[in-house]
Amino acid sequence: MVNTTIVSWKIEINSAYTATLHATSILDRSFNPIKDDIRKYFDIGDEIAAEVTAFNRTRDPVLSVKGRGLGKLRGGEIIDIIPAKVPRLIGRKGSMINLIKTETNSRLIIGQNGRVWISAKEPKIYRIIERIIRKIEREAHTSGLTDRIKNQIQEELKKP
Amino acid sequence: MALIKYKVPEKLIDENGIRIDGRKYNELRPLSCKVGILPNCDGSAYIEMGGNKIVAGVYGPRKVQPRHLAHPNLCVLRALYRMATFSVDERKSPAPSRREVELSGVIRKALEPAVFLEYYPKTLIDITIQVLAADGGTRCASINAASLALADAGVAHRDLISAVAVGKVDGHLVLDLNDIEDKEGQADMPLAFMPQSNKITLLQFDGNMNKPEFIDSLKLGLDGIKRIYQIQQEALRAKFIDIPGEDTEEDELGE
Repeated sequence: MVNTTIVSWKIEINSAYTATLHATSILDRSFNPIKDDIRKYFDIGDEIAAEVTAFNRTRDPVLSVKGRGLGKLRGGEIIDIIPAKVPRLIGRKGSMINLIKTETNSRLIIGQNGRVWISAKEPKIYRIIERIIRKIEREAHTSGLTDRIKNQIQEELKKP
Repeated sequence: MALIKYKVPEKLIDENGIRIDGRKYNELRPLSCKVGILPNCDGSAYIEMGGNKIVAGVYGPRKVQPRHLAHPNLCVLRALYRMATFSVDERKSPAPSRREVELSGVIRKALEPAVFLEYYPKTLIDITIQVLAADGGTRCASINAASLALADAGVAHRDLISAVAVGKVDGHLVLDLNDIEDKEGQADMPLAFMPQSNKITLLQFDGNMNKPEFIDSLKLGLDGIKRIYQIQQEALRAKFIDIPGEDTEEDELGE
């Protein structure tokens, strides 16, 4: 999140375009700028998970945080990967991301813009997941990757 | 002024049809490309074409700055061709020359037809081309490198662009002119081409040729472009073939 207006937020989405998130998206009622302070909900520097609801060549992207799992990201860590490698990180029907989640017992959100939010219990797990994601990014086109990743996670978890 | 000027041989092509650097009329200079060499830009490529050494880097698509340059429906392509001060015999002034501005435009226009500009409205793609060493035909080598860098950046493309110069030296048509042939020859024709879509994106001409010669040199050029195109494709594949194997990075760090 990079800026606020009275009724909306400007969000940096790792793209050539800056996205807008309207205040009404977070409330079930209309937003009253006199009574409500927009910064109470999201402030500059906050990280959020959102989805794009509208975008075309005449209009910059409009975001929404209505939906399960969307909203402010508390704690955790964000790393950037090349957006083209996102499908490989998710895997067929989510096979790769589910593997990482279950093996490390952590939470991940992968954005189509190449931002990955990681939430784990120990600092050590963060480092393992980051290494794993970098490996997937680098070797996205090689075969048998899911099995190799599984082995590597199990090996790394055994190390002190 | 340089004290010693290079000596131009009396004959640029000998009785056996061999050129001053030992090539036949339809032979390319040694060509090698490498993709993804610069970590800080979105895509990059390095090319060696004879004595030419050229680096190309691509940024974008990104926000247009200054904003008035933005096009509401299309992506704006911006090429910047620069020669290093040490790239030629006599030190080149570091200030941008008229020639560099002209070539930047020429290269941009040669690349534009290949890029799906309508995919990225209101954005800008910056292509920076730095000539480290020049040996004739830098614009063609630059186009080859820039096209690879665009592909490396993941910009949506119709086709790669391959370019080569054809010329007339001592009355013979020759492919891929070097510096001396370029300066002393009778004609010079840089040519850029999209091999898959079969379209010419750049055709410049300087010198004298008759119509049959022109048609023959076009054929000669397209034949050379086919070979360049293959080397470019191999360079793009090589980036993914040479992936470091399991845990090699950690081993190297440990030593």
